[in-house]
Amino acid sequence: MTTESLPVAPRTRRAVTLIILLHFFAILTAVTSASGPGFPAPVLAVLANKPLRPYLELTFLGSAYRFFAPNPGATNVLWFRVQYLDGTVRWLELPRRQDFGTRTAYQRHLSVAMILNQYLAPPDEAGRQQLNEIGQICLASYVRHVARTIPRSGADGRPIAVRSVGVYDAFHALLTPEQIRAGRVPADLQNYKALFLGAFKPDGTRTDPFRPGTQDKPISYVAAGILAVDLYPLVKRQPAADPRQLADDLALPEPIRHLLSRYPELLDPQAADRDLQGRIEVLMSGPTAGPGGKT
Amino acid sequence: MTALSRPPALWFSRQWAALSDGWNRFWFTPADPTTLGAIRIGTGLMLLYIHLGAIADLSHFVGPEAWIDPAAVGQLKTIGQDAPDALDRVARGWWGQSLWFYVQQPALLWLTYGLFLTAVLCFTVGLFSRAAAVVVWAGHLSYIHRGFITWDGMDSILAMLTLYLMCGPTGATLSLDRLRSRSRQTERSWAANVVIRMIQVHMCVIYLCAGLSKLQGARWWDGTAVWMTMVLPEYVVVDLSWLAYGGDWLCHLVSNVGVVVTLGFEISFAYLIWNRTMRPLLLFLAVLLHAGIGLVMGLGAFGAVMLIGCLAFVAPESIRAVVELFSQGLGRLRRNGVPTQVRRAA
Repeated sequence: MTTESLPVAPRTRRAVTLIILLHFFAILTAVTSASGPGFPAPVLAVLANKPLRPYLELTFLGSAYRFFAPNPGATNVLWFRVQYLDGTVRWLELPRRQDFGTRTAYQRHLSVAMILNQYLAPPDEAGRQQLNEIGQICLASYVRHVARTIPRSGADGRPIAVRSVGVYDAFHALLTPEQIRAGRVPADLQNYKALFLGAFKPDGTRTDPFRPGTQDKPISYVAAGILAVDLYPLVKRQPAADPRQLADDLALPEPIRHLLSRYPELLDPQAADRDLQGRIEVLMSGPTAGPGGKT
Repeated sequence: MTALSRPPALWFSRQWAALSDGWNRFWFTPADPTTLGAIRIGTGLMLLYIHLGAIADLSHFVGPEAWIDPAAVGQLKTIGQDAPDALDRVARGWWGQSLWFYVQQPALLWLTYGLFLTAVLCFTVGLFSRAAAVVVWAGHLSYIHRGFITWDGMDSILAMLTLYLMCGPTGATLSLDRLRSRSRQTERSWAANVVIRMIQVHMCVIYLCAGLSKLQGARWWDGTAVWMTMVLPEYVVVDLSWLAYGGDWLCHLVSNVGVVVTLGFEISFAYLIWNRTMRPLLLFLAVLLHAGIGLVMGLGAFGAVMLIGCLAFVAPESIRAVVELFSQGLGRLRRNGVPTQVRRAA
């Protein structure tokens, strides 16, 4: 078929051609203007992309399509520590597969947790890191969402308001074949690294002294803090109750529950009397921890 | 007169004419819209799957109590507005639009979402296809933009497919609109061809970018990247960690083969898919890759959406043959009735 025999008027053809060229030019700027680690984007592509952002963003075609690139890396989940006005505490791990009936719902909540990493600005000369403006807005909104949707009722059935929310970004490292052979499982505490994102009022105002920065905390320190501050006082107050049940009621993050099930001696509040963090570190680097087991 | 002795202007004008003729034939030759119909059905089914699959959590993504609440949406809209340069203000601003920026009342929210799902259903079965396609595109984008942080790869592919499908005669075949129309003949259309070509070119861009960007990663060069995707704890569905007990060599073998297949497929897709001999092999590899990712990592919806995009490379005759087989099977079932044992069980 020649151009003359095509059933499209030349004027229509020219108009459609122009639209196609502009559209794919916009896509080209979207995929070339994204920088990678060590691979900055060409300045021209970045400049050409700027006026086209409204079109690409509105149509949601601004993706650079870099799936699992440059490297598949550690995933992350969020840990929220919700403290109520009556002093009680509840943890929320986002997302946990068992909390969702469908894969789609789980996947969407995984995006909620994982997208925060995109908003972590690179560390400054002193090694301090913080969320960028978008990340801080999102995190404050997450806190408000958690404060509104994780209710607790008192003995009289009346709702108890939230006093504060603490947030950790928990990075979950991948296991090497060697670590798997040494008996490590994904839920082992030493596979995690915790980044403290801040403590907040229920309205999303950040209150901790590190604001606006983040704090890289050893996972053993975080685990020891959870046991000493949240679990042991509960166990001491209710000596007749099963400490495992109390740990479940707190909805502790999976690696902490896994640590307690693997080392039940840590359920004993007497453990807090000694160097708890040091003890957890020794347990983490035990025979099943495998090489490089210490975080 | 030899080519060298021709004036350069004449040479350029001939090349330009050839290029222009090739361009016009590529984009504007009328095409059978059956392929488009199949892509419409697949896209509609996937939209139904992902939207119905998360319907119980709608209030977490949309509405006053969403992860990104209206206050945060307001703040996000002001980002970049203080930039001194006008172009920077344009580039740094957030241009997403959503119906659900304006609808906050739960009852109204559910009503509009219900209307959107009805439009997706109409779009899938091809009823009032043109209007439904516009509502589906606007509704899906509204959902993504309102959620702000709840999207992933499949949403960007669906945004691309719904945009293109909105521009073509998607309901011209394999649709209730077709059954309702008086004409019995499926007309070839240049608009159908434009849409199919746009999906084809966009799929090539996606695979090429996915492949080339992996070349920036050390793990893709040392061959361990596929192992890493197989043990991502938040994703894995099928636990393949037992491979570790077969020794490092087995893990490296599986991972290296996976890396070579992934990179080879993704990078070469953009140019080999146009070769008619290679096309079936490329499409087979696409099924293999996405089925593997879906089974191991649980990203089945993403894989299905990518394969629906790849349908743009399947000839309409092949799709009609599959539809024919399907309707023959259905007809046989109707003629012979339900098998006795099934009737008894019922």
